Amino acid sequence: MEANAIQDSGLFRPVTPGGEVIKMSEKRAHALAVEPKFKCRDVRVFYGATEALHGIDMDIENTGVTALIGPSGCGKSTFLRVFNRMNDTIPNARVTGDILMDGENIYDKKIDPVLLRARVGMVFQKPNPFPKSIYDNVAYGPRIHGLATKKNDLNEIVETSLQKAGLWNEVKDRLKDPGTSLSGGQQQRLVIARAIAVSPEVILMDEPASALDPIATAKLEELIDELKEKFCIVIVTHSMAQAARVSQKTAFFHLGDLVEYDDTEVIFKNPKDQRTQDYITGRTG
Amino acid sequence: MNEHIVTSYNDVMSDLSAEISHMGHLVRKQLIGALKALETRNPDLAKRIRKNDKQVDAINDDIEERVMNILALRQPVAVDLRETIAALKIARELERIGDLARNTTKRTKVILEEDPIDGMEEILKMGRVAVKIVENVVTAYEERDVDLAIAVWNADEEIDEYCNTVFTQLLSGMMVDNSNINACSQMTFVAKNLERVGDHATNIAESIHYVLTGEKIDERRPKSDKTSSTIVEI
Repeated sequence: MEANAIQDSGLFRPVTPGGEVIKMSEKRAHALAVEPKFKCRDVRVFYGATEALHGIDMDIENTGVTALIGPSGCGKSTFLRVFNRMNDTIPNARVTGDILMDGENIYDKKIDPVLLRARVGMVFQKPNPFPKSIYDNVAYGPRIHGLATKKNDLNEIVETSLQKAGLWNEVKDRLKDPGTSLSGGQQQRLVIARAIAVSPEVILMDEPASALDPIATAKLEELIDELKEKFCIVIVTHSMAQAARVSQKTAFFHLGDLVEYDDTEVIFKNPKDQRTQDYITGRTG
Repeated sequence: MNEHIVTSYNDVMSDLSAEISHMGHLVRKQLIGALKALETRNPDLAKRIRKNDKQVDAINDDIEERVMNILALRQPVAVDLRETIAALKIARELERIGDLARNTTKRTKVILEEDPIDGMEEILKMGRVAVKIVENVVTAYEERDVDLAIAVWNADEEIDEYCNTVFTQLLSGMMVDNSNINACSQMTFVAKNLERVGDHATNIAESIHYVLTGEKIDERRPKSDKTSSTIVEI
């Protein structure tokens, strides 16, 4: 349904107390109209006999940035890895509950984790470019997934992806150089370009800026800000300030529980749970 | 409330509160002094109060500096953010109350040059209400007492009522005896000053409420000051 049609349909007609209809932006109407990207119900993750996540119920919006925060060991990275089945790669790890992506259970037997990971890309704490050229780093995914058959198409994907990652101008004359020759911040953006190249719907980021200096961090955050219009981004960060700057929704995890999940503004101005308040203000709980 | 893990963060926040509290008490004393100078017809006291206002301004500057430092160096969030921003706003309101006390002493100087006028008792009663409101709002801040803050917020109406009475009384006084005009017209400004003290205390009460609950007082602020439209039949 088109945004205007949604607004005109009367399904979403926010009004002022005086009864005047508030005009929604097209984007907002879309955001309200579409189903969440992920619906998680009673999600539990076990490492052997230990339950690391105790039944998480949470929806992740279709676009925008959701930040997962909490002290070390709270389960936020475990939860992040649920979305692209990265926990499958950990021996003894077991996931129960429903994780629906666009209504489809991603833990269903018919789902191929490799294809899932093309739809749900991931960026790690330390940039991990392949030991290949800048070009081949970005071209790798489209090649193995057969997204481009002609050289020109592949060139275009590489250029567009590097442009979206805000790296094109810095590397366009040195595409044959090894990816590892770039600076830390550039490598992190290269990895994002690599993730974008296979046209994912979701980008998961696990502490993506913790190894970057403030300028590289700012460039990365600017990139996240641009990408959030088109992608669903879920980011784990230990930096409260970063969560506050880049996300629209923030979830606070503590000892394997989802304690509080709300608009980022609410979490940082007026959190409802004492444990959230203690954590984000740096108090002993 | 639990303590910050970083003790120096606790220290800067409690120093900031202490400074607000100190400023609150100083401003309360300034107001009491200004009213005392009027009541006892003491121009020396009025002058002293006028001079003391510089101290109030200096504390306000100090609080602004502290708030800037906390924002720049600690990046406060949640209750700390509300507390820090409230400190800035409350200091500004207290500074304005200090200005009103000073302005009252300036008018007192003129009033004391004239003969005593009728209606002084009402003004002083109104002054006592204003002092009580300031006292209560400072206590509400110190004790983190949201109920007291709400009580202050509601009490503004009482001071507005007083202002209306005093205003009418002064206008009538001027009509009866026009030799009173200088003193009475200055006195209307004194009454207005006291009414404004109530407004500033109300604003402080709102800030305290926000710090403690994270929410704004949802009702409309009581407004009963009718002096802007008061006339006497000639």
